[in-house]
Amino acid sequence: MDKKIRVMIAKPGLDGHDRGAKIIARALRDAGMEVIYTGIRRTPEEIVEAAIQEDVDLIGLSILSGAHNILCKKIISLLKEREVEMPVILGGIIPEKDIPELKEMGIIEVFTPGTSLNEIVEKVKSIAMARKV
Amino acid sequence: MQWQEKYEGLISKFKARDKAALAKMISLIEDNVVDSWKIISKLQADSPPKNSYIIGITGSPGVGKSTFISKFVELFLESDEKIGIILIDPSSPFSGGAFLGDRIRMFELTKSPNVYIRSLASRGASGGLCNSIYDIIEVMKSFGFDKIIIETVGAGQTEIEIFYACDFVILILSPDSGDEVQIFKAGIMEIADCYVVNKIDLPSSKKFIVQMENFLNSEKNIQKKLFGVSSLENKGIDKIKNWIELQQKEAKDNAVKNEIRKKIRVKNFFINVIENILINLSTEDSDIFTLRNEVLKLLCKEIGGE
Ligand code: B12
Ligand SMILES: Nc1nc2c(ncn2[C@@H]2O[C@H](COP(=O)(O)OP(=O)(O)OP(=O)(O)O)[C@@H](O)[C@H]2O)c(=O)[nH]1
Ligand SMILES: [Mg+2]
Repeated sequence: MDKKIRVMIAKPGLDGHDRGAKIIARALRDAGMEVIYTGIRRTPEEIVEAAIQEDVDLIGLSILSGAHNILCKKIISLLKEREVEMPVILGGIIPEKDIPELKEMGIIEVFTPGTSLNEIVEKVKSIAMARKV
Repeated sequence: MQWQEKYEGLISKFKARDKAALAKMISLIEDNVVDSWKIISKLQADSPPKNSYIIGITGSPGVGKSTFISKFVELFLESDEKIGIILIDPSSPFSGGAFLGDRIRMFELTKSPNVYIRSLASRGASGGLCNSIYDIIEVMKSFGFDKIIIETVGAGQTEIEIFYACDFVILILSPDSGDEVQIFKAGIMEIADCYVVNKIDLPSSKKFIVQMENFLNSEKNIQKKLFGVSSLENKGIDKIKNWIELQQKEAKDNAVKNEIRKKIRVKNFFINVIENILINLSTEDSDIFTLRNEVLKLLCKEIGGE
């Protein structure tokens, strides 16, 4: 049957940079997805709980503060604790050298400035659809 | 695999009041109405659903519906009630996508153990809700909420479906949402059980409330209560809560509405199934009658076997 993709765009931590997150949310909406935006300054616990209640197909984190390693680790471990399988991707200011470790801990993709919106939309679609089936 | 087997795990988690299972159940209703009807009827057969009181919150875009709900719900939590909240935002008619932004205004409620919040897109429904809402209400009753609160899309004059879905409807108005002429044109005025003027912290609100009172005094057939609140400053909301609780006590079993709801559920069931059939159907070489017969055949196949 017709399955709509539902995603959550989340901003964990004290980071107030929200331009990128909003641009991504809009692009995914315009690509036909249902997008829940959390607003800024959410805790990892809030994000995971909201994602579960909303039953999203993917969580997209946007972090420009430099605190990505700690926040991602926390979010991934909370998801494990709750026994939910939900793919997590990350975008923002992420140094190249941190990416292997992030992927190691379970972040599926990392998008840094300059990635085209088309590429992001296509990746999100394929990752989210993989969960649906 | 039989459907009972396929959904066994989900159903038992649901019965254990697992919010994740409720969340999955709502997705299933949206994506697969045929299977979800079987599950709903099983849940209801296994144990009678709670007689949850359903409160609808409607009003023009930006009047403060979501902010109001965030404060309103906190009052019920003080008395340990279990609250389910459904927030509906419009789907784009062009892309089919949606930006679901109501939750931002009540994010603090996310971790409250007695609250469940779900954002939904209208998915082409024109009444201010979504076609799945009646089925979703059924599972929420089975989940055992004391109250179910539903926020419509930013509603204008014709989005009045909330009247059928809910036991009690609050229309939120704001002093910056147009003059009284516009407001009283709206069909939506007639379906509300009470009016709430939000944003009374704004200076323009005094004049607006006087206009409203004058109007209500002149309309003999509209005897509805008017409240002034500030959701931002959390003022006046407790009065509404008390009054609604009184209404709930006095409420008679609404047999007429229940019959209408049943009919709408069936109608929406067929709409959902037919929409899904049409999406996957090639129409190129068939005339309208062939197409109709084809849809009918697939429809019988889809829901047959019971
Ligand atoms: C604009 C800006 C601000 C604005 C923010 C306005 C706002 N509401 O967003 C203001 C002036 C408020 C600001 C403040 C600060 N900023 Co500033 N800011 C920037 C700046 C110049 C641009 C950011 C931006 O909006 N880019 C445009 C958007 C569209 O790009 P983007 O967010 O990167 O998103 C793209 C990708 O990353 C990706 N993406 C992002 N999120 C997601 C999510 C998903 C799911 C996906 C798939 C993709 C994705 O896709 C997007 C499109 O390609 C950057 C420098 C830079 N060149 O990036 C610094 C920068 C981010 N800021 C920085 C700093 C330090 C600060 C302050 C702490 C400065 C201070 N000392 O006051 C404060 C902190 C504010 C706070 N509360 O957090 C540093 C961060 C350093 C770090 N990470 O180690 C940067 C990198 C500047 C620098 N070189 O030092 N800032
Ligand atoms: N001054 C003032 N602003 C308020 C009040 N309540 C809400 N607002 C503001 O009004 C704006 C819209 O609030 P929402 O709660 O999102 O309104 P809504 O009716 O849910 O909006 P839609 O769902 O988009 O139709 C926000 O900027 C709120 O901060 C209030 O009591 N006073
Ligand atoms: Mg709202």
